[in-house]
Amino acid sequence: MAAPELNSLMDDVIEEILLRLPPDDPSCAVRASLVCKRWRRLLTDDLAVWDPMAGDVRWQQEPRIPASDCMYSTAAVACAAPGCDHDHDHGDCGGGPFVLVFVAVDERHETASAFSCSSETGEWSSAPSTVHLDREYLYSKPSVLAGGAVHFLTDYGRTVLRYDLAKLELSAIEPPEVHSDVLLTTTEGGDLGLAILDDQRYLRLWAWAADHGVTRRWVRRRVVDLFAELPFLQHVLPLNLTGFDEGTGMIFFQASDGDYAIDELMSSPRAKKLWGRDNFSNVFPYRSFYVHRP
Amino acid sequence: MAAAAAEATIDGGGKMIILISADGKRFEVTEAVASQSQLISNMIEDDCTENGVRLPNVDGDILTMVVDYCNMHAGDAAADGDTTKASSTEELKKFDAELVQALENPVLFKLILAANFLNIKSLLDMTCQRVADMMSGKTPEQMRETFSIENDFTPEEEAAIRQENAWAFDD
Repeated sequence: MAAPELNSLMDDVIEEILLRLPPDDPSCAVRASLVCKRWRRLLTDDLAVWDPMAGDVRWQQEPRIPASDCMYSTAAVACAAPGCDHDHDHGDCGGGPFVLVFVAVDERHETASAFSCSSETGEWSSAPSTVHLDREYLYSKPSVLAGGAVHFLTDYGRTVLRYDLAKLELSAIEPPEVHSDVLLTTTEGGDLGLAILDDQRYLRLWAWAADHGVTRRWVRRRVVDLFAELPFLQHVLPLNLTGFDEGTGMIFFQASDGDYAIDELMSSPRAKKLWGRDNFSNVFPYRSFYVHRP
Repeated sequence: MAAAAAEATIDGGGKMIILISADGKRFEVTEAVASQSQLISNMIEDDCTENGVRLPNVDGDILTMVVDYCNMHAGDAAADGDTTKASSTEELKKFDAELVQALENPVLFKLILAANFLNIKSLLDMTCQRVADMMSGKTPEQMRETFSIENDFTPEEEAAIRQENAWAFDD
């Protein structure tokens, strides 16, 4: 028998090994996912749906999709209760049925494919709904649920991908401006929104709002001069947007000395320091409970 | 060993069976030892071990290690009264650590393949954990080097993944 190399072992065995990467250091699995395409595929094969409040974890296998169509992927969980847009306390839907939405981008970065699956059947939609991309990949920013659809961002916020939960259809929305420091949000009226941090100082808030009828377009809601509202921020640059809480309208961001949350409406213009300097790149408030492995 | 086996046969489950490696080496072990392999345990249940169990995927030198491992770990199964076999937990830990630490990569991978084929869960756990531990704290480049893996990402793809997960690449 010829001396085997690690990658001559079967998928099952490689998977057994990758499953044993140190659980207390998730960065190890991320680094391993950059070793080669095969490892990346094996490491991103399962989704863990996690309810941190109840402590439940449910595993769901990713939809069957050729490896070349799934270079990048992300997933989101939405409550399956009809009309639930998380505008009530999500504690009400905790433990209830949910819909899982899975989006993959192919290796040529030209097609996004979306699948959905209900927690009750555990079966993925048989055919994906797709949209064309212009050499884009998925941005690891939190997704949001608004208007019966789950929304994701591609790199640098170039496209907003919208997955309609009723029609099971994926579509693309062009953002009002392309900016890398961007977050998906929801507005007080329940519309999709965008928060953009420009020049480390101006927070621009947009809404994807209906005019009078059904036509939606981007409407600028407000521009917040963070230095005017919160002068101390000038001393803790750089700032990075990290997350949004759909329930309270809080925007999370990282500064050089720690992580903060601010009220998006600036109704009470103050920032709340959450924790000291740490290594978060994204904040997922527990309402949008999901974990994507790795 | 033969005497012990004969004795064990009286209280049942101690029959000897023969394992035959890919290169024709023969190993005589008790059913209790061999049963740690789920594959062989199933064969014993199905009564198809009479003429020896041929293992065309496993070389003699690897099967030697597997048999040593199973003999050492048969303690649990043969614990009643047989103090020579029932190794203490500490002895076992030491034995396991020495077994995997000493192995060169190709041998370790062969042992993983054998543990997987024979379906010996504890041995598969231990050997896979050893490989996973070798990845700990390494960069993707160092992992590729350690395991002779070719990078098949384009520079563009690699940059995108790094950017997406920048937190994992801070040193």
